[in-house]
Amino acid sequence: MIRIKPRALIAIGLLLVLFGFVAPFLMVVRIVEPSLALSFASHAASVSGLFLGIIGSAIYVRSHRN
Amino acid sequence: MAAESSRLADHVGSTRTCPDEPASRPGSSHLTRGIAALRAGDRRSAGRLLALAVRQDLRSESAWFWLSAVLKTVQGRAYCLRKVLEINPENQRALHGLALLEKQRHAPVLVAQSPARPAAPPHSPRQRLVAGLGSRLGIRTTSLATSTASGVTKYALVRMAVLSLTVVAGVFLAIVFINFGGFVDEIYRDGIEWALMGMSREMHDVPIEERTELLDQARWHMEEAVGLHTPFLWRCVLWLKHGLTLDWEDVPYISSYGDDSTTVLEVILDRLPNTLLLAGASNLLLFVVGVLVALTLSRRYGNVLDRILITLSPISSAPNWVYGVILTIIFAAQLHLLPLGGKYDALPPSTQLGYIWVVLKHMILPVSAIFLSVFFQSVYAWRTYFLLHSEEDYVELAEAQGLPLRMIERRYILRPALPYVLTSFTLLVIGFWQSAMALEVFFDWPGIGALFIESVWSISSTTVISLVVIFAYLLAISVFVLDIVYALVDPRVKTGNGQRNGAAASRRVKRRFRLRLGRTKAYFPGRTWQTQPATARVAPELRRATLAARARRRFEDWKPALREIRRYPSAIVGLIIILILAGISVYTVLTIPYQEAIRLWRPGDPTRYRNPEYAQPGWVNLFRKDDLPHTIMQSSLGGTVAKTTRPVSEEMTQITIPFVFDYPYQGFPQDLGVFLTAEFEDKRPFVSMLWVTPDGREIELESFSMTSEHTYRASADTRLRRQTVYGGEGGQPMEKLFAVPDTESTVAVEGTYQLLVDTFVFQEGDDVDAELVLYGQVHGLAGTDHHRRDLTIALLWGAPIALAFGLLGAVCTSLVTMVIAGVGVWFGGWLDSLIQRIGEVNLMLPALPIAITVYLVYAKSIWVILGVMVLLSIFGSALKNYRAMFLQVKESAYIEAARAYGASNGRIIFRYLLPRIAPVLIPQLVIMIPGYVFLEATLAFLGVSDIYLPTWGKVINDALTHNVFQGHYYWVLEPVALLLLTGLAFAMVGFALDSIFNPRLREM
Repeated sequence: MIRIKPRALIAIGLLLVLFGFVAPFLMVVRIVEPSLALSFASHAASVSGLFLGIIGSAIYVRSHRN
Repeated sequence: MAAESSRLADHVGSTRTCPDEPASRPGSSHLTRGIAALRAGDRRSAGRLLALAVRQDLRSESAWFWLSAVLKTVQGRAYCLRKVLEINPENQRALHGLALLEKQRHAPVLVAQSPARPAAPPHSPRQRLVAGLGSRLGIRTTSLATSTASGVTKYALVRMAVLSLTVVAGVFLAIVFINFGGFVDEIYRDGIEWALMGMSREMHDVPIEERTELLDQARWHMEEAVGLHTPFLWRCVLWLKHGLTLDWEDVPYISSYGDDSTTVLEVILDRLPNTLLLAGASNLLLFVVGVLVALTLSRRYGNVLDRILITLSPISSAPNWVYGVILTIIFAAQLHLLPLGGKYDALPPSTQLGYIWVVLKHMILPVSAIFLSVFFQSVYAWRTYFLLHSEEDYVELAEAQGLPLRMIERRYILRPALPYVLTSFTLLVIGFWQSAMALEVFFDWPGIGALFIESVWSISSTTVISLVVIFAYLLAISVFVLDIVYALVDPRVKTGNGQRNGAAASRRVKRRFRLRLGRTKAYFPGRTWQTQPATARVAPELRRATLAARARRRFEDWKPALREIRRYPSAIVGLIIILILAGISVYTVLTIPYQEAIRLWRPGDPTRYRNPEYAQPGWVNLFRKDDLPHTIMQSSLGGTVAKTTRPVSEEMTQITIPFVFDYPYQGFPQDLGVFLTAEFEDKRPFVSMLWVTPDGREIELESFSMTSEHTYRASADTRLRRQTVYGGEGGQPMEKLFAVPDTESTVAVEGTYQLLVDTFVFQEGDDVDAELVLYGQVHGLAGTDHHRRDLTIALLWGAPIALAFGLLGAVCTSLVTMVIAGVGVWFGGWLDSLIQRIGEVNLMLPALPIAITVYLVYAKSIWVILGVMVLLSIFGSALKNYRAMFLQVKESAYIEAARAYGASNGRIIFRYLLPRIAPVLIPQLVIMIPGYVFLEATLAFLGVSDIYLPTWGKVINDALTHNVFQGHYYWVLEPVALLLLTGLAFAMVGFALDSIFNPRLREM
């Protein structure tokens, strides 16, 4: 069970989503050599980042409503 | 249950004073305001205020009592009343309330649920409080101090094993599908025979015996190379091994891309980052914009922005390539701000920075299209999720107990909501991978989606299998990552006890279903909802009722729901659109029968030459100051033009056909066509034509000696093109015929024009007729395409096909899924488990490529494709929803009664189980229809459609492959608009029905 503040959760999510964009971009422009591992990692980061962002936002909404 | 609850509320509400509540007690202000809010009917504010009052004073008897009146759950109410009795055991109202609650069937309120594992005794007051509340609410609160890491690791390992097995099974099935049970072998054999025929021609100087032997050897090697000597199933297993490891090095013919040194893996590695870039960029955009908007809306719901978003949320039912078409027309074709497609400009950039900019510029439109297709629906879903799960009464109760906020958030907000978010998220990811194919094809974006379609069309099995594996891996990674995140934020998974999780989830689903069913019952007051078998409750007179009477009864059942729909303007608009579409469909089928539509649409229609090419629809003149010209037609055959005959000599006769017509337009016509037919014996008639303008100028057109049929087109008149007097050499023929001479004017002269067709025939009885067609810029209601076909036919016939495809697909999928879920639940055991596993494996199967494969190798009918898509959809996510509902119904008393009197399994399933949940499924069915409507369009867009059947998707496909971006936007915008309208109409009605039948959404 994690104990992270909602803002931190959103920030982590944003970083992951950002990685999910930057990593394939670097592979596309050939700054980084394309590889399956990096591709899968970027996809995982993007999906989990978005998911964390939603959860963080939900907690944020709740706590600020209070 | 509802009646009992209202009695309790009435009982509480009748208490107007609180004699035991000193005005000066802490929380009395909140208490007073809470009571006032409750009496005013504002339950939400009342709940919040009373919870605060309880939190401020845990010994306030009145605050607990009034809070019990606000809460919706039986458990919550009972808990509050027990607290009242703890404070004051003599409180008669609390005793009476508890007695009322005890009568309710589903009220395990007075019995604390014992945990599966004995909990460590709580030490601190907070732990005692938590444990007490948890046990009373049926929620495990133990293991707070146990190892999170070991629990999550165990859970992760289990999930990884399950997902790996699912991937293997999914890929194996895909391999079998892609080979189509060995049908592809025949295609390989045909290819080999063709190759051998070529070789045989080149070996003409080789002796026949030697040639035959060489060809046999070549055949054997070729068949060996593609694996035809290996049994089919064993070959599938070998391909599974190669596919899962993406290792095709020892398999020849591995790819049709690049040179021999290019392997499948290299091709995939070249394409995969491009698709991931689109997905990553759209996710980033969705995160930044979507989460922010959802946050704002959830805090200020009901405002203008919120209402706009709710109204717009159905437009997310359209696939992303549809938005791609619209965005491309606006920003690329019309404004020239962005490129039309591809990944690079025509000229390569000179620097790395320039390369980055080029890629960024080319990905703006595809990313925007993806974003638009998911934004509204996602934001609406998230905002609803934020609201719903922060307003639950058990959350208020937990707050009242003084639990830490973080604990409340994790246990009482996230826990019930996460499965919903997780499911919708997984579907979002799957949806993206499915729709990426069409999007990449449209934007010519070199990703794996486009590669997939290319591979399927070129029957490159190894590439297709590798891409299926990549899709399966990506999907499995998504599900696995989401599971792990889920495990990290949900404390229950620490135990690794799947059964308890399943049981808890089942309880939640049952509770939700009870709420939904309760709402459904409220809208069907005339229906009997007894807990007796149907045969026992059906009155004899009803058995004798006619079909009409039953239909009337059904209508009466639906009346309350229809009345409720009137409260939703969007649903009314949606219904009107659906009715109009249905009316158009009926009109079309009656006035243009199927065979007639096919005749008009397929090549070879003898009347199509009269239509202009690429003509805009007639209604564009409504929005213009100067009208675009319509087509003008005259013919000597139809009697509209009288021809004159004058003998010139004994052998020669002159036939003059004067075409005189008014031309009231300033724009130029598209072309001038004269279609001549002649009857003669030996000597061919000679034709000369003279064009006379309104100001009296005469222009000689081409002269020629004709055969029995001759077509003249001014656009191909070389003499007219060489004219230098009027308009200058090189000008357009129509400008030379219609513009003011020797000017730069681009305006046609209005007035009466003449075309004099003089023909000379040389034998008695010879005759010539002519038909003039001055092709306009507009034609009919919908314009024409590159084959001069009137698009009205396709747009009209597109409506019944879209409706039939959507309705058939949605109804068949819903019904079959419902039956499968019902059978699985009823028999349970291995059958139920098997159905669930098939559902998970089914997620890994790429539906679109399989449909294309079926189209390629088996049937060219869209109805067969529909059958395949239904087959692949019946084990989709809906299966789990239906299963959850059936689990609830299965426990009903009337099912027990049916079982007791010996009803057969079939009777119980089809007469008692399935009809019970049918009304609840209607919103889901309606929402499913746009998906199938757009599926037909997507398949047609990808070239998978009936060859001759005119559909909206086919018009879009024709338009996108034939210069639509050179100004012929109507060609693609009309079918896109109709598609959006249809999808939107069903989505609006579906959303409204969902709100009506779903009490939780309705409360918002």
